[in-house]
Amino acid sequence: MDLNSLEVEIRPRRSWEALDLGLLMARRWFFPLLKVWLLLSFPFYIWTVLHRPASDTLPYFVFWWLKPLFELPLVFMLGNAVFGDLPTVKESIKKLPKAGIFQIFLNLTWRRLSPTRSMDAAIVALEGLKGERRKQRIRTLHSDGASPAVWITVLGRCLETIFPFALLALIYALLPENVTFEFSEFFEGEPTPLQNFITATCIYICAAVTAPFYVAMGFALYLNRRIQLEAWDIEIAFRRLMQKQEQKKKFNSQILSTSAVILVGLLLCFQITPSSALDLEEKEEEKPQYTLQELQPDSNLLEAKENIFEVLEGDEFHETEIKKTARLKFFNSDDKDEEEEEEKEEDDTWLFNSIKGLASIFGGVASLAEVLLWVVVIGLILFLLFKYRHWLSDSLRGFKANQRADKPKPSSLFGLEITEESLPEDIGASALALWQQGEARAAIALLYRASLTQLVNRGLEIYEGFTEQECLNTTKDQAKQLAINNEKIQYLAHLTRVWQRIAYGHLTPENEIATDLCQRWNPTWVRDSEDE
Amino acid sequence: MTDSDTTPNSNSTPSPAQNSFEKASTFTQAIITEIKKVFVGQDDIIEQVLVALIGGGHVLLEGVPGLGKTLLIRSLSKCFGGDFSRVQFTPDLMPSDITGHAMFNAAKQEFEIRKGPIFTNLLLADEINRAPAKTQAALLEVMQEGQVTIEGESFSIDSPFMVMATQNPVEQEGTYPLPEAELDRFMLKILIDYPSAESEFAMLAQMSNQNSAGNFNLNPIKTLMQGKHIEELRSIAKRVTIDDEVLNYIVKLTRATREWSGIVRGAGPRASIALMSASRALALIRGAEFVTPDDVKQVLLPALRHRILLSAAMEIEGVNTDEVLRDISISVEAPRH
Repeated sequence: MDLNSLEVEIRPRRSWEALDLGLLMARRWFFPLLKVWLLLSFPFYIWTVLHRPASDTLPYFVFWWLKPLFELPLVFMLGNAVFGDLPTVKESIKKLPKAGIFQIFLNLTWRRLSPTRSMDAAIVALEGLKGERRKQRIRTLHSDGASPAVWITVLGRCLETIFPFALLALIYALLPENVTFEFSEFFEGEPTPLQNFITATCIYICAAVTAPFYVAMGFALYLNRRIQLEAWDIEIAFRRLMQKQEQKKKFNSQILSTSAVILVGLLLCFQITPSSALDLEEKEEEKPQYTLQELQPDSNLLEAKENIFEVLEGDEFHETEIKKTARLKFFNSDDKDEEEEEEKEEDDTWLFNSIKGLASIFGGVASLAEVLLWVVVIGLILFLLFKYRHWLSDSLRGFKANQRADKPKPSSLFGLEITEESLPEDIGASALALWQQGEARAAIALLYRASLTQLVNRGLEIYEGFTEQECLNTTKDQAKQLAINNEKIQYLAHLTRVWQRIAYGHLTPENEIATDLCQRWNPTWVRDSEDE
Repeated sequence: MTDSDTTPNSNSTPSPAQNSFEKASTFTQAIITEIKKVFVGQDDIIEQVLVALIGGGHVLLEGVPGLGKTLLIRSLSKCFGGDFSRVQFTPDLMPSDITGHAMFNAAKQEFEIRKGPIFTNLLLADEINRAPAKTQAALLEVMQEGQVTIEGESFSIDSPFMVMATQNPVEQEGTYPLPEAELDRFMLKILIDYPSAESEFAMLAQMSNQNSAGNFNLNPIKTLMQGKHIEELRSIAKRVTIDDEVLNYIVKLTRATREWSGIVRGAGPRASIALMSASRALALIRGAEFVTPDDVKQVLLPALRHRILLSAAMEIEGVNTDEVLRDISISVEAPRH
C-alpha cells in the first residue's frame, strides 16, 4: 500500500462528506466499474428475459439476491484505483475467487440483508478477514460514522424501485402517436415476452447505474474510517517531509560534487598540492590495512565466540540472589499469595493479567489512602487535644476532685497532718495545755488543724491554693450539704480570725479568747461526731 | 503549719500602732463613703483606687465609655484637698504639654521654666492611649522616680503624686497601645464593668434629685484629706506586718506567671513590689495590722493583669489574663504555718 500514490486527497472527513467522495469516485471510474458489473450480471439478465412464463418473478429475485456477488469485483477495482492502479475488467473479475467461496457464500446468505453491506464488503474483499477478526474489525469501523451506510442502502433500494417505473414512463412518453398503447395496460394481465423484456431491461439498467455509486459510497465510508483510525494523513505528511529532506540532501550533494570537481580542475590547472592533502595521504598510509581475508571470521574468532557463550552459560551469570527488606505489613499482606498465584497462573490470558495488574495498582493506592487517612485522624486528635488542653485540664481536675470525694479521706492536706492519728484524743484539753504552757501559736494551730480535719473528713473540697478565708467561705457554701451547723461555722470563723492574727500578724490573742476557743472545741466538733 | 513557740500576750490594751491602724482604716472608710455618694455601686473599684493611692502607685482605669471612670477620679480629687490636674490626651499632644518647657522671658532676658500640668498631686490622664508613644513616655520618669526633667534640669514632684489614667478598650482605631514599660509603672489596672440594676437605679434616683442635667454634681463630696494625710496613710501602710510566708507566697505567685503555659511574658520584680504594697494598703483599708494571703489574692488580678502577655494560642481561644491569673491563684499553694 503506497500512500504516496493515492488518487484522492487523504484527510479525515465527516461521514456524509465521505459519501460525496464516493460519488466523485463513482463518476471518475464509472465505466470501468459498470463494465465489470454488467459482465457479471449479464447472464442473469438474459435468464430473466428468456425465462417463461414471463410472470414468474424468480429470475428477478435471484438477480436481486446475487447483487453482492456482482459488487465484490467493484470493490477490488476501487481498492486499486484509489492507489493509482486501475485494474482491467479481467483482473478485477479474476480477484473474485480470492475473497473465498465460503465468504461469498456468507455474503449471499445471512449477510445478504445487512444494511451496512456496502461498507463491510471491503473487509472481505480487500483485507480478507474472517471469523472473529472480521467481527472485531467491523465493530471498530462501525464505532463511528456507520449510519450513512445504512441510509445509502435504504436510498439505493428506493431508487432501484422508482427508476424502472420512471424509465417505463419515459419510453411511453416517447412512443409515436400512431402507436396506440395504454400505459395502464402494461401492468394488467399476463405479461407478454415483450413486456417482460422491457421490464427486465429497465430494472437491469437502473440496477447497473446505481450499483457503481452504491459500492463507491460504501467504499468511501470504509476508506474514511481507515484514514481516521490509521492516521494516513499524518503518515503522508511525514513522508512528504522525508521526500523534501532527501531532495534537499540530493541537491546539496550535487552542488558539493560539482564544486569539488571544479576545485580539483582548478588545482590541476595550477599544479598546486595542498599540504593538508599530503598529510591525509601520509595518515592513510599509517592506517592498518585490512585485507578481505582478514575480515572474514577465521577459526580463532569462532573459538572465541564459543568461549564467550560458555562463559555466559556459566554459574557466574546465573546466580540468583534473594534480598529481603522491611516493608509495612499491610502494604504487602497479599504479596506472597499474589506471587504464588502468579506462579500457578502463568498461562493466564493477557486480559486476566491486565485486570490483575489494575487491581494491584488500585490496591496500592487504597493502602496509601488508608495510611494517609490514619495520619489525618491522628493529626486531628492531636490538634483537638492541643486546642482544648485547658478545658481537658480543668475537666481532669474536676474529675480528680470527684475521685477524691469517692476516695478514702486523705491523710495530709496543705502539708498538714489531718489524720485522726496525728491529733491527740482530746483536742480541747491538749490545746489548752499548750496555751497554758505558753505555746500560744501551737495551741491555736492545733485547734485550727483539728477543725480542718473535721471538715475534710466530712467531705469538704479544698484546693491547695485556698487561703484560710477561702476555706471558711467554702465551708459556709457547703454547710448545708456537709451538715455543718451555724455554731460550727461561727466557731470556725472566730478561730480563723485568731489564727490569722497569730500566724500572719504575730498577734497573740487574749487569754480569755484562747481559753474559750480551747474549751469550746470539743463541744462544737466532737459531740456531733459521736452522735453520728 | 509549724507550731512555733510564741509567748502569749495576756495584755489586751491596744498598742499605739494598733490605734493608728484603726484610725487609718476609719479614715479610708470615710473617704470611700464620700466617694460612694456620687460613684454608686462600684465599691470594689473605689477600694482599689484607694489601695493604689495609699500604696504609692498609679492606676490605669479601663472600661467602656459611660461607666464613670472620670467621675471616680474627679470624686477622689474633690475628696482630696491637694492639687489636681486633668489632661485630655489627644494625638497631637506633645510631651512638653505635660511636663512643661523652657520659655524665654524677654523682660528678664532669661529662660524660665514653665511647669506643665504634671506638677500636681493627682493627675488625671484621660484616654491616655489617644496620645502617641512619645507623649506617653513623658510620664515614665515621673511615675517611677517622682521627678521631671525639663531642659536638662530635674524637678521633684510634690508628694503625694498619683497618676490616674483612663483608657477605652472598645474604640481602638487611632489609638496607641501603651508600651510595656509604661504599663509596668501602673501599680494596678482596674477594670470597670457595668453596675448592677440596683446600683443603676440608685444612681438615677440620685440624679433625678439634682438640678444639673447630665452632669454629676460633686458638691455632696466633702474634702476630707490633704496631702499630708495621704503621706501619713502611706507611712502607716508601710508598718503593716507582712509575714515571710506571705512574702514567699507573693514571690511564688509572681514567678508562677513566668513559668505558666500560655503566658509568653510573665510579671517582673516590680510586680512583686506592687503586689506587696497593694496588699499592705488593702490590709490597712480593712483595718488589719497584718497582711494575709487573702489580701494578696484580692489584689492579684489588678496588680498583674497588665504585666503578663498571653500566647497567641490562648488569645485565639478567647482566654483572658484574668482567667489565667485565677488558675494560677488556685494552683499556687497558699502559705501554711
